[in-house]
Amino acid sequence: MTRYECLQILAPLLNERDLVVTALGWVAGEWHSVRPAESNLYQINMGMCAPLCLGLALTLPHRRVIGLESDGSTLMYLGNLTTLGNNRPPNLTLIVFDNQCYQATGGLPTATAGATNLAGIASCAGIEHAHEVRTAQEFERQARAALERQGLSYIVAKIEVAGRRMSTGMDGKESKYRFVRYIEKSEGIKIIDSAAKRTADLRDS
Amino acid sequence: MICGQHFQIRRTSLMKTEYASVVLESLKEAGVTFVALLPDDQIHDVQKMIKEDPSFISVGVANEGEGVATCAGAWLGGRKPALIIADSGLLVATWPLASLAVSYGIPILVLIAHRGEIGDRANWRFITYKFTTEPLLDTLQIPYVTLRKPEDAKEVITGAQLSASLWQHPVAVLMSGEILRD
Repeated sequence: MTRYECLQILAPLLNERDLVVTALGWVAGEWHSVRPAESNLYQINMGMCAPLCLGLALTLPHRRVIGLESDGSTLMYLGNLTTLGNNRPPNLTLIVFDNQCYQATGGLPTATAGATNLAGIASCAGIEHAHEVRTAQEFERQARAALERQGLSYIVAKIEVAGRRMSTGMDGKESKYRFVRYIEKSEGIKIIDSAAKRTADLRDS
Repeated sequence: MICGQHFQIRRTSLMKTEYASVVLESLKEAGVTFVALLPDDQIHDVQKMIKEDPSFISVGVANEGEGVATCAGAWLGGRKPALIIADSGLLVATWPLASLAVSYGIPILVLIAHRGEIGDRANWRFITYKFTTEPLLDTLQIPYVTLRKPEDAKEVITGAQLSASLWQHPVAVLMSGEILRD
């Protein structure tokens, strides 16, 4: 099973309003090639994808949030699993593509290549729906179940060391603006302030 | 309740409860509705007030770095976030502050209980933060303002939040001196 196969299975299960955040690495370009939507936010650096998704999911409880994480990134802030396990936003699904190595930086092994079981850690951290999958069929079954349930879901997909080095064609700031403008449009809210309210406006508000 | 009991422990120095209320009200005035925090004795009371106030979504984190990322997610979803931590937490949070908040331009209000000012009665352990906090903020290119007097809290905190929003950039408030004293 490769990450790209999983992404191809995942994309048709989502609707255009689903918010997807990717970690750094090849997953960003691969996901952009499969589902190049405005509702994607790309290339969140090591350790930060899952906690960012937590903040997003708590803030927009009526939207589905999907985080595309990696084993190396998860291991960097392992304590975040306890934060997730205690907050448990029901609209959040985290998918960890676990290739058991730091692929984008040369391929040295992560702890999951050894004795460490991420789904087991997630489960013990308080995430009720934590599952490890090893085949495309299992991945699809767990992804469907996660997207249908009201409950924090955590899928650890054990994948081959394979991938395609593709670019999203945008830097972090462009990705941010694109995503935030989409949230503003789809939620009917204003997030980016371009000018301060005048004192008189503040008094009237 | 998942987190269980709240244990009251003896603390040698802390912000007065009335000052904690001033900080809480200033955050509300600034429009902050999302807080990530890791407990610190100096600002324990304001952190506890926030956790108990339904007008905030609050997330207790295991590490200040994940707190930065959680705040970033909240901002992307439309809330005004604040991270409320100690100097030590700023050291821990530097990686996400640099590579997410500053790099993407995410307005996070970082409220820091700052120890290590000359004359603040902090012990030997806190001289570290005299050497780290302000130089680190300069290095990270995070503008900051120092808040010492409780009567200035509203203006300083609302001003810092406004600049963070307008600049799309994190801004820090260092709480020091009278506002932290018992």
